[in-house]
Amino acid sequence: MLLQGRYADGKTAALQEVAVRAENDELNIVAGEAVLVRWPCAQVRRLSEDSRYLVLGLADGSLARLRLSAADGDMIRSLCPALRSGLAIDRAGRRQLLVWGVAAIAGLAMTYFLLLPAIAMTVAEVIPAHVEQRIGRRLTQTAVASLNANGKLCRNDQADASLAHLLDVLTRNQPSRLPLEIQVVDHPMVNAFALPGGQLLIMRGLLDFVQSDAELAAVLAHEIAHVDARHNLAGAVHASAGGLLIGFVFGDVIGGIGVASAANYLLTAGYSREVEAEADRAAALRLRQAQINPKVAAGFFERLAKIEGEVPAVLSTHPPSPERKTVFIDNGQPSRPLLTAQQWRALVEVCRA
Amino acid sequence: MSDQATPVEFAVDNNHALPRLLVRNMVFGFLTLGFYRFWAKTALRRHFWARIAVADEPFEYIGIGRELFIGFLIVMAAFMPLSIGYSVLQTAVLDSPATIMVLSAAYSIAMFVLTFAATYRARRYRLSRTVWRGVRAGQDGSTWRYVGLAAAWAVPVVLTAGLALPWGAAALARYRMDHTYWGSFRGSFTGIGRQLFAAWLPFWGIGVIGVILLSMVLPDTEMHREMAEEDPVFAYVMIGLIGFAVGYLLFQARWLRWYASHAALGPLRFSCTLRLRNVILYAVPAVLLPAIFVAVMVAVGYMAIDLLLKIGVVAAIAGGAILVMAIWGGLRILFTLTVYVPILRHIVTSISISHLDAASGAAQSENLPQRFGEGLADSFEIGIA
Repeated sequence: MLLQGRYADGKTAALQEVAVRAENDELNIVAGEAVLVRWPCAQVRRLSEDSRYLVLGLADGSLARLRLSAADGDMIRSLCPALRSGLAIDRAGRRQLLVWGVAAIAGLAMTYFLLLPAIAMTVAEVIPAHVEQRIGRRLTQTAVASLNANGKLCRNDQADASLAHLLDVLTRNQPSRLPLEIQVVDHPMVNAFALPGGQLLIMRGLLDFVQSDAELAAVLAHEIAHVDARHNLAGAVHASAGGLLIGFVFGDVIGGIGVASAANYLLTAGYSREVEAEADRAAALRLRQAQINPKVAAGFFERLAKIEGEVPAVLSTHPPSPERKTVFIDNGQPSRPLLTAQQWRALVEVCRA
Repeated sequence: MSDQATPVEFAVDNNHALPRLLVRNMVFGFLTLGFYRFWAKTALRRHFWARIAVADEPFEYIGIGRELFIGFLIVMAAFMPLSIGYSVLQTAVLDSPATIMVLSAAYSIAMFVLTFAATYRARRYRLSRTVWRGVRAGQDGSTWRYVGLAAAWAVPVVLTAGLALPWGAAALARYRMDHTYWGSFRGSFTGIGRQLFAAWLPFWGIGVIGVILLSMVLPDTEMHREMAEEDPVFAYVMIGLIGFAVGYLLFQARWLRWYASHAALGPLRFSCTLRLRNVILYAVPAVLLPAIFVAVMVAVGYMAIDLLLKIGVVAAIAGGAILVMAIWGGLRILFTLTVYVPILRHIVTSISISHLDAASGAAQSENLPQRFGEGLADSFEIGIA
């Protein structure tokens, strides 16, 4: 049984027209009468096969090549039944792979979970207050514009006075880190935000949703806690650096961007839950100092969780409501009005003018 | 056939090996959250290298996915502190325009150096894993000298607003080819900038006129608005962009012909007959395909998310993510088959090699192939295939 092919010995680029014979589980590569080389079937590898060529090589990593016609594929397989495929080159050893893999994963995990939050907090702390306030004002403008296409703020003198009074009640016994500036945005979302530099934003939806001035005070206490702890500033650093890192790990192949943003969301949500729990604890303290019973906050967050629907714990950026209940405990403080009925109405209806 | 040029062949994919390979790469990439990409890229290269042949002898790619993967792990270790440092700095100086400018300048310089270093090293890695007739190719020379050369030429190129580009390109091409080898055959390059200048000048001139016209029209918002009402500035900009793209392709084809006809490997000489009209046909699917896919994606996405929201938030997020990935993956496969491969075929088959008889004289190079542990950064890759 004779096959025709071309042989390159891996030492020079000279090609030889050869015949191939099988003998004792070996392929004998023959030029003219002389046997050039014997390839044991166990060492022969099928390197590639398409509609034209079948290329064979050896498992020892040499570059000697035997090119046959693709039509001879079946023949070769009958001569060497155990013919295996693929390169047998092991240039990059498995051990190095393991070492570098573990190093990279350890480094990544350390960077993401330890270094990044620490750096984020350090950066947030070294930024001087006046710079933070300027950043905060600019971010607030952007935030208002993105929340409301017209950038519409709701305000009048009475409502401003009511808000100032609430903030005064909350900070009288325990000042905040920075002077606070508060604004109401005409947006239906039940939410409030703390931006860097003591900027607070509350949505019209929140004013419609709260049932008392004490509930609104509880939300404000929570947001003031974010300001005090520089959470927003640290969060911005954390999110941008973390997003970069994750994007690089997953690459841009096949919706890697989607995977990356999902992963970043999950990880950031975890960071955010911790931060929110911390803000809850600080808020409870501030409410007690202001002689407001923290249990109003528990009731508020429970109602909020109901309208927001049950989000699985890993996806949520806020602590689960049973957990919040244990932070905002009833201290027996009797409830008292913080605003007059007139002040309260002016505030709640500020967007309806 | 000693003086006759032998055209490079690009084999027809008779048994649909490529579509199967692309689908497999997509599925594995999907299942491994993208980590399969190093092996996917390697499999694709093995496929394409084997389809390209000269005088009935196919090329062979002998790289393995693990090399790319380890290169990635190492680059990640180096890239991590850089990327974090940069984003931290960026946030910290958010407020000061002067520092942002300094930072951007430093970043641009870093990107310039990284781009040239990475492309040079990627070329080195690819060549060292390329085998023809049992003989390995390769590239030596110094990455940093190459980056230095690029930086030195960047000065006149920037100062002349790009007019000096052909001379810079020629200098870099010479460095690359002088340090390229196939076995004992060393590469060389005899092209000079002046030869390319005639092709570059009209392209450059149109570009400069376009930029001047744009800068006259765009910043003047009053004028912009008036013109938008009377005659659509948008249409002019689009025509300009399309013209620019066509001009760029024309120049690229000219550039490739110039590069090939002045490059040599030992006694082997090259020539290229690439014409734009052979390639430009694929501009239609190249533009249409993504447009169709985006439209389908938006339509299907709206319906699916609407449906999924009724089932639950988690299902909606997961379903949406899967949908986006599947559509994106499908787009890439179609693009590869209908645009990338035909263009590659046109380019490859437009190249011919003469003095092929002399190829037998090439001996395996005495340069050892880059060993693992030394040439790790070689695996620092840019681009897809």
